[in-house]
Amino acid sequence: MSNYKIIFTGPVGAGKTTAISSISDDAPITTDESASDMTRERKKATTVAMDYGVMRLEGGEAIHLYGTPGQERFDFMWDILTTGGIGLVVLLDNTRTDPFVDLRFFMDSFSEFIDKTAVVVGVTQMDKNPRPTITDYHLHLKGMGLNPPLFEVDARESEDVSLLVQALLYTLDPGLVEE
Amino acid sequence: MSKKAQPSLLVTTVGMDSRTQHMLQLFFQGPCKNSCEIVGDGTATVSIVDMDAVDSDSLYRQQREKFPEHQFILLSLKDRDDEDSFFVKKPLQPKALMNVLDKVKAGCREELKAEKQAFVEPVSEQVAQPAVTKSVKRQSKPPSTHRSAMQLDEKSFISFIGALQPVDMSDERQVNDAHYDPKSYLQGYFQSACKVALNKNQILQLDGSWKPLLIFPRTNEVWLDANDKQLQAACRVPLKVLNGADPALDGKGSGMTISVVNDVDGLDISDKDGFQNIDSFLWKVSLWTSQGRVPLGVDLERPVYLRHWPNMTRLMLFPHAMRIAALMMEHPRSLMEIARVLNVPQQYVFSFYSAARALGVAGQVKRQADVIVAPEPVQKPKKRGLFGKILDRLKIG
Ligand SMILES: Nc1nc2c(ncn2[C@@H]2O[C@H](COP(=O)(O)OP(=O)(O)OP(=O)(O)O)[C@@H](O)[C@H]2O)c(=O)[nH]1
Ligand SMILES: [Mg+2]
Repeated sequence: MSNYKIIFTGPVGAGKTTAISSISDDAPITTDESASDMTRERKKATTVAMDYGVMRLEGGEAIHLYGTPGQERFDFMWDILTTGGIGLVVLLDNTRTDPFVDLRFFMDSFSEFIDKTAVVVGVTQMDKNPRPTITDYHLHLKGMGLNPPLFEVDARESEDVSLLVQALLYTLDPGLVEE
Repeated sequence: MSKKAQPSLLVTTVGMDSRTQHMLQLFFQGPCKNSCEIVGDGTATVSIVDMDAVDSDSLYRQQREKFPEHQFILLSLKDRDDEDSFFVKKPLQPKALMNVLDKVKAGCREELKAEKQAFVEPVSEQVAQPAVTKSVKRQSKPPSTHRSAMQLDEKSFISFIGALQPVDMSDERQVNDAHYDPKSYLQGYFQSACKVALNKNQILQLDGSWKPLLIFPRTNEVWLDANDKQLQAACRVPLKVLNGADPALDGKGSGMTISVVNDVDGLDISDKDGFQNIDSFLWKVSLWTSQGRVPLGVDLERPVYLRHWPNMTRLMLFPHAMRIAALMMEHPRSLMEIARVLNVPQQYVFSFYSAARALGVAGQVKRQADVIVAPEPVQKPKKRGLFGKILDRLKIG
């Protein structure tokens, strides 16, 4: 069986677990634990190892959705997760103190993978915090020499997450048509 | 068929829930090339203990008593110095873990005395605090400006574009008909008023032939007392006709005034549904106005560029919009060429360009020479079949 993966990454609470559940066919597996230490102030549950979901495709193939843990203590997972990955979804939380630091951190951390594949960026929680704006993010990305698809996303909305993943696929191949 | 390496280490875990184990398993399968395997307590020769788990100390003690011959690897965020065990500090670094596993392997080779032990129920379950179930359901809808916009299907899109005949570039009339002047419609005024409000960072009100439009640059919103159906209808009517009743206004109607709003509290904007995001608003206004045409002055055969992806999740989407964006992001191409490469009706591409231009993210290159002449067709990657299936699945969902 083929083993294609899409990797979801981003800081604690950006909506990785939620995004994967909103497009996964099976109830996704997650390794959430009640958040401890510094994480607890922000949210109840945090993912300690990874998230996993799957989209079943026609003809028996499947695309695996992996979420990296938001906490950095399992960062060795990242290398493993990206092997065989077809692209990266970076989710950023607009209510964090400095989402641009997060942006740079994840773009840098995965730069090798991004070079080989493609990346899309989703900014969550913009309903709670409309600033910085999408334009601000574009400016920062430009400063980093990057220009990926970048959308406002509510991780709870499958439509938003789906469009983000579609943009990833079209970036890899604009000529793509549905089967 | 590649021969699977015989695992040289059989490992069991303590204080880890089954899913965290899965992560280790991936590590063993990946970087460790299957030289380690997680098995039941009974057959393992190595115990990996998460010392940050609740009760980890007593779990560790119990495991030692049960399996005195095991080698132990302890994981913890805090430094430790236990006798007779290896230690790997979190955050786990592949190299550090690998090093320790190598040492353990060396030790095993010397001893070679893994005795069978009775199977013991894994203790991990009571330790791991299970996930708080993710609730994808929301309590309340976010404000309308943060909701995903409508997606038009082929049929409803064509219904407002009208004809889809390809433009014959040698026929001047056809080329003419493929163009429109945004300033002859509400679009032009909406667009420039929004631009002024954003540049000056001032709340503005646009009055004139139709309903007043309020522009709030700080929140990136406009307020309009009209539903989409009314707006669409108004967009299609040339200002000349909208202004029809007033003979004093000729043609390219002024009749439009922009004023600065100083007293926000005095505004009657109680209807919260009247608010929309500026970009979402301008995007659909230009789609409805352009009806598959491009603004005057746009050369159909000169390359156009997209500065960056529009915020597609909050814009009214129509068939092929995502593909057009992706192709334009590759490098500038002419509108005619985009339609050809993607094999979509030209009017879809014209619509996309008109809307993206209204948002200020698209434009036309100055001279042909400004563009690197790039190889024409999009190359077809190997995974196209797979990607197509993913798309299929995403669009049904
Ligand atoms: N208001 C709002 N809430 C959101 C949005 N996106 C996600 N959430 C919520 O944010 C919370 C955090 O989401 P998670 O999916 O747990 O985040 P995560 O990235 O998996 O976090 P870690 O596992 O800790 O790294 C959840 O309660 C989501 O429902 C959004 O756009 N707006
Ligand atoms: Mg999570």
